[in-house]
Amino acid sequence: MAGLPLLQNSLLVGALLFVLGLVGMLTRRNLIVLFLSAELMLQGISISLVAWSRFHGDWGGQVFVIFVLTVAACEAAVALVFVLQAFARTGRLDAAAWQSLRESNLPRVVDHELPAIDDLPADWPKLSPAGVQPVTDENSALQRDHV
Amino acid sequence: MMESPTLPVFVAAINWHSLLFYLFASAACGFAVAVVLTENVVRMAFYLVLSLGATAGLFFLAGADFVGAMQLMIYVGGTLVLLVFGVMLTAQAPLVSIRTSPADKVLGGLVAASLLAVLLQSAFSVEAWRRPAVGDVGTPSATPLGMALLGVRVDADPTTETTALPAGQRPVSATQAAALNPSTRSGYLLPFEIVSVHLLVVLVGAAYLARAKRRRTPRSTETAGLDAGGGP
Repeated sequence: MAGLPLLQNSLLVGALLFVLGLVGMLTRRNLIVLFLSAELMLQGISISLVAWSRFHGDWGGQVFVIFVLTVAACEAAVALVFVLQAFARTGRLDAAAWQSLRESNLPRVVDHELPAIDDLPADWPKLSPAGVQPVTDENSALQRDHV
Repeated sequence: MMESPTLPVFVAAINWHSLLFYLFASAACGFAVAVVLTENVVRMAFYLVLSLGATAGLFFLAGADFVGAMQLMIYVGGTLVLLVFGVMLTAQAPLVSIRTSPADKVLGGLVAASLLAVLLQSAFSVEAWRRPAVGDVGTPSATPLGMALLGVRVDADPTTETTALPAGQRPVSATQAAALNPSTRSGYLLPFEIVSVHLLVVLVGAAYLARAKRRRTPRSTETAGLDAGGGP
């Protein structure tokens, strides 16, 4: 398989991957899952670009796929930092929990099926017993900003 | 592969390129469906690794061996491992599956199906993509890609047959047009530098944002033991 059938089959696969990523992007609300779906959409585009590069005899498609890989690595690094910071701050990963940037005249989206913030395991700070050297956990102390 | 007389006829008759293409394509699409349908985030990340590995196989079959190797090393080996770290750092019991309402799923499916119809309709109705292929890229692609990233367009070499256009005929592809006009054969050096600096800045920024923060109120050593564990 080469030439035209390869291009058309690759375009079909690329369109399918892009659409599946779009379904994941539209129907999921976990922030990390949104990034996984974005990676899927990028892969669909990359398959189409490589197929066009083969079809036209032009290296531009493959060069552009290399740029897509680089920018996807950047995006994953920065997005993961933001998601982890947001998770450490509030303990929520739901996209609906971050509505501060919506327009002021729009109503707030209300979730019914999510665990409320009260259902999350409470991690309250406890006083150490008197007269004993307390055990200090650096990590738990760092992640307790939201309490 | 050497033709052996003991090889069965049906093995020699198989078009291995088509067979492998269908295998990798069905694996990529099937695991992508599994990514969308699975509720568990950890399994989702694993299915995505498999789907992107199959995509690398598709790259190899399309003659893009360097891009396929980069896909396996950087994407599957680096970026997805990063995402899997993120998944496992946040995979706590109430957060592993955040369910969506069925109305959202139906709406998303409708939008995606209509977009797929539009994409396929447009992809198979472009006239230039129904003619036979106009060119081919070489299979050991590391050297031409490296030269292109250094600013030399190996595909727009004016000594090839693309300059030998008959009089009055216009170039049919952008490659030919670039080959005819030497000032446009600039390669990809500037985008390469831009994306390099972009990657550096982004990684420095990510490391800065994710650093371990000191406490907001620095405490002296004797009081730090008394109220350790208390939030600010």
